[in-house]
Amino acid sequence: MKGWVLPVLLVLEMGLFTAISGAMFDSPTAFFHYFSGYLGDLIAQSAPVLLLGFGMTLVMITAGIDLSVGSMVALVAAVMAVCPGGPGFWFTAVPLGLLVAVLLGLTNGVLVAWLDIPPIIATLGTMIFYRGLCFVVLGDAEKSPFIDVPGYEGLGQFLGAALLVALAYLVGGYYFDRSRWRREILMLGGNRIAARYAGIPTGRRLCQVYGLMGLFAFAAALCFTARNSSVSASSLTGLELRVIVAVVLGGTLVQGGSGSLTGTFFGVLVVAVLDEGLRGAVTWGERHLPFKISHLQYLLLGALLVLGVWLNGRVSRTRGR
Amino acid sequence: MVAPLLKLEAVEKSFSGVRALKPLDLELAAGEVLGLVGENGAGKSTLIKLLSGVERPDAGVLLWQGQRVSFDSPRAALAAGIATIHQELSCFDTLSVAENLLLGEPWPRRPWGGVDWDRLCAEAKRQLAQVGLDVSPRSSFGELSAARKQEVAIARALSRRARLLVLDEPTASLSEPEVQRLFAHLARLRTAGVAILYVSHRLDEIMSLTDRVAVLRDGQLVGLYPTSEADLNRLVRDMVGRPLDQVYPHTRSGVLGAPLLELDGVSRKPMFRDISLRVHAGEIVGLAGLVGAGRSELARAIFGLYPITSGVLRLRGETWAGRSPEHALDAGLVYVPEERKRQGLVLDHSVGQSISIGFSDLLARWGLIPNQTENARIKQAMSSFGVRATGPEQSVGTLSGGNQQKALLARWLEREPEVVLLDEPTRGVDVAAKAEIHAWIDRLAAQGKAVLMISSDLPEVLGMSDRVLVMCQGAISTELRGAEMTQHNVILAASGLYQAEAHSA
Amino acid sequence: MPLSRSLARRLIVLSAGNVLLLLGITLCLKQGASMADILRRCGSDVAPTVLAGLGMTGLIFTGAIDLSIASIVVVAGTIFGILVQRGASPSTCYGACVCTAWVLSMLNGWLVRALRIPAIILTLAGLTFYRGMALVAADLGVPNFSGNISVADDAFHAPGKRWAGWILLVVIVAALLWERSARTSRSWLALGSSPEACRLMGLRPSKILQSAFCASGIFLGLAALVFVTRIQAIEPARLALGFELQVIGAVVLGGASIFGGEGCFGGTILGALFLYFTSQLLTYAGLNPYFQEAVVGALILAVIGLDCALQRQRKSLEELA
Repeated sequence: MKGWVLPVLLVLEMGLFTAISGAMFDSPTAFFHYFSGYLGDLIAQSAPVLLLGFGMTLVMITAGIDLSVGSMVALVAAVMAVCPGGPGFWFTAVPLGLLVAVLLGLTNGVLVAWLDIPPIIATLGTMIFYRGLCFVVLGDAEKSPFIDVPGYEGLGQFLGAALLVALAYLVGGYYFDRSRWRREILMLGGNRIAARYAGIPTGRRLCQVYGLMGLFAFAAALCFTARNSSVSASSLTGLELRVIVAVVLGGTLVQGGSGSLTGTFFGVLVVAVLDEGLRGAVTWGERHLPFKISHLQYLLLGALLVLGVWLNGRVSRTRGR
Repeated sequence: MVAPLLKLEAVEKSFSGVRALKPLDLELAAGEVLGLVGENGAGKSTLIKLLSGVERPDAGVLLWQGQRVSFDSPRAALAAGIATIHQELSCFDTLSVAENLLLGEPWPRRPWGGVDWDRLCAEAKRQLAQVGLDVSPRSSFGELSAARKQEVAIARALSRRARLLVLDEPTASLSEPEVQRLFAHLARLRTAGVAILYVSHRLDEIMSLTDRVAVLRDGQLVGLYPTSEADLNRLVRDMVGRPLDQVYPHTRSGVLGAPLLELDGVSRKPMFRDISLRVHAGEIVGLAGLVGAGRSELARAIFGLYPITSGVLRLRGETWAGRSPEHALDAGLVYVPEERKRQGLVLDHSVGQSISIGFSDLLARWGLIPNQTENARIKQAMSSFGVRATGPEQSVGTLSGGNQQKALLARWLEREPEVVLLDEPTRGVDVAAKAEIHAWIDRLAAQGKAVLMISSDLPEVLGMSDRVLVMCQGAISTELRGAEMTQHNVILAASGLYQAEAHSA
Repeated sequence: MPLSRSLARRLIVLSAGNVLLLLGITLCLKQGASMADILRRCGSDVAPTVLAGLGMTGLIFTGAIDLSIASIVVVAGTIFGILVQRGASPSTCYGACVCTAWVLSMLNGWLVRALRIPAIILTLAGLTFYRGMALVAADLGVPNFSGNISVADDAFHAPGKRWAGWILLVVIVAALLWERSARTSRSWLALGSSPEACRLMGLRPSKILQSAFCASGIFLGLAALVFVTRIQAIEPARLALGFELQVIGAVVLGGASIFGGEGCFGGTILGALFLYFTSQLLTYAGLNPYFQEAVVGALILAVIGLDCALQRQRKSLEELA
């Protein structure tokens, strides 16, 4: 998709939902106030998806997909949740969470790279398995030691979330853009055989990509638990679809070989604004629509995915072989 | 006079600007076996594609059984009665033999509508019997040997009441007794009035099997005569008779340095066995042979894509256990693969991306590649290798074959490797680009690199190499030097027919 | 047509496994529960998975997949519920349920062809889209929809509670007979084995794929019928969550190759039974119920991993050539 489509779409969306929610501005400062609050909230709310989107972009560049992200984040959060709260949390739970997350990601990597299981099947399986482990760890309980941890909720607010996102997209993105590694995974996804002939260690790179996904899952778990302060074994079901839709909207091809972090960033925001907007439009919906507007979410998410893939397909077909 | 079964009048075909077939006239009568010979790139496979309906001619007329025809799909050609046994069989490995034979046709049914497997298998058995094949129709197709699979393909072709059977390199993977069995089938077919077009590199088979021989060279028919009037020498002369004054660049001094690449008894059964060779600095060693001789497999093994099962590899005099292509690249060895589209390029990527992947690791500091340096190197590579594109952002899939090949070469040669393995460096490339690539290969040797060049283009392999190794069925059958380096000798050696007395034709 | 060696091996292993599991269950039975009870319940418990699995098997034969089956079941169930509430006769409701599932399955097939999107992505979108569709339909069709459509009247529970075992038996017998004597399933396998060879032989890949979706729709319709008539209330937001994973798990366990071209209906049936008996054994053995999902996930992964690892030897050399 052309570069300007998503930002324009984003602005239009925000305009639409602001109008629907009936917000009034009587002065430019009020307008500014409203929007900065809105954007701040948006970033904080969508931080987990933004972080996961980064990882998913990398995975999809290699012509893979990771359906287990929702379960991964939930499991990492669950593991952290069984640790006792308090200041010691930063030294026990957080490193543990990181370790677990990377292990989970690497497991996916091993299944895909060394056992040669198609990514969609491997991650479908780990999705079930990790979710099952969530139940093992948490049972029926809903734990929330996060409330007692000093400084933790900062991660759930604008500053903390923005910091993590900036770290990922600005620092990580800059490094990624200029790295040899990026070129290697692009080739891997574009033509795996040619990548091997070009001396790219395909197995190792795949493991790294899925391992990185684990790292992002950890970061997402931090943001999520900081914001929601409690986690249960069935948290975050359906998260992976949201992430995939965002990445596809951003222009990353499902068949691999190309991907855009900027696109993913805007894609996530487009989906987040949609979610937020629908939530804010509930009263409007009740007045004007015969059905609950929150149900539109499901429809729009699916439609957006198809639209995104279809458009990307047309673009790459017209680019010619 | 009976009208010929097949007649081609002034048939032409071009691919991306390269003229694969110049106006060609050919006739084939029923019950006749016509052999078709020519080097790679002479136009044989193009002709086969036209006859089998995979492609359509750009110009000219195809007359089949007296009628003008145009096949718009393989199915149409098959329906008309032209059956082609391609080199790579299209089949269903997971289904049974009977289904592979009969899937395109209506199946016999039981009264209540279900498939009558017994009758289906009986029909399959009948078709298999036509070629004397005693395979159970219920057995899995994938579990058959290559020879049997081919025989089933022939049975399938015959069951469609084919009047013309086109065979493309049918004996490439057959053993001697299997070849004999195939010839017996063909003899039976011929008596039944089926015309056969037999395309092969194996001149001895052509001599023993065919009634007439057609020789293609550079897309033109340069010889058409009864096999009784032909002999090996005449065939070879017609196949390769380019004016021998075609000049290949030779700026290198001819002074050889130390051996940079050495192989000692290297084997990987069944691909190749007991290969011993040496390539010195400043030397170009040509590696010739038929398709399937094991040349590309050898090169890939040297590069580290396959492990070798025995023997020793030496780089710069030191034993080297090449574990992976990454390893090889670090050691200064590059391999430019045979099929640039499948093994070399990502067609959707840009020219810049495709080139820089070969050397950007050398530019990287702490994993980061300075954009400016990279772009400068790409531009430099594009200009020194003559890659013609609108710019580094152009999609490499839209370049011509010659430019794609140059881009691929640029990718690897920008690394300044010491040992260069080239696999068909000018296949499918236009004349101008060929000349540029040849100039580059010569320059490589002049710079003191060791070059091992695999090529099926005889003038090229003879004109560019300092000496030529000919492989036949996995082993090196001969080494040709100096006056022995003739196209005649290479062709004979490639079929294992070369006698060691010096021939200079 | 005889089975390949590896497939035959898989069937034997699964059968043996099932017998062992049944033995294990018998050993773990406490007072009051009897084997006969279990076998009687087995039919209706495992029916939806087996029925949907048979449909999915056909699709997987062709190399495609349908990730949206759970959501299709939800739509079918919602339509069913709406009709029940409006006082339609049981047979009308049953018919509508089955037809809805069939129509949506056909829609999937049509969209895959028309939009030229891989089935896996389209049905991933369908996963969420159809669930949204069900929710909107519930909003529109049920007055004061509050998340649940109650179907308390026992007259509407016949298929799920009383006839399930019989439906299952009849369908299994019919499917196995059909597999043996129809050409369609062989053409599905042909498509999965080599679309190129199909075209060369004059078969039409698009028609074959559509027929696979059509058959899948019929099986899915019956599965939906049994599924929704076993419960007291239909909750579109949470119904059948994770159902597609169970079904795909059963199919893949049963020996069908995920790439297409290989497999058999019998394998799917045995695979579904295997998963069912495993979870039953775990329950009766007193294993923490929270471990079940994890164990099932790990099991599926182990079997698939083994399969893919074995295939890897074959593929790696061909891949380079």
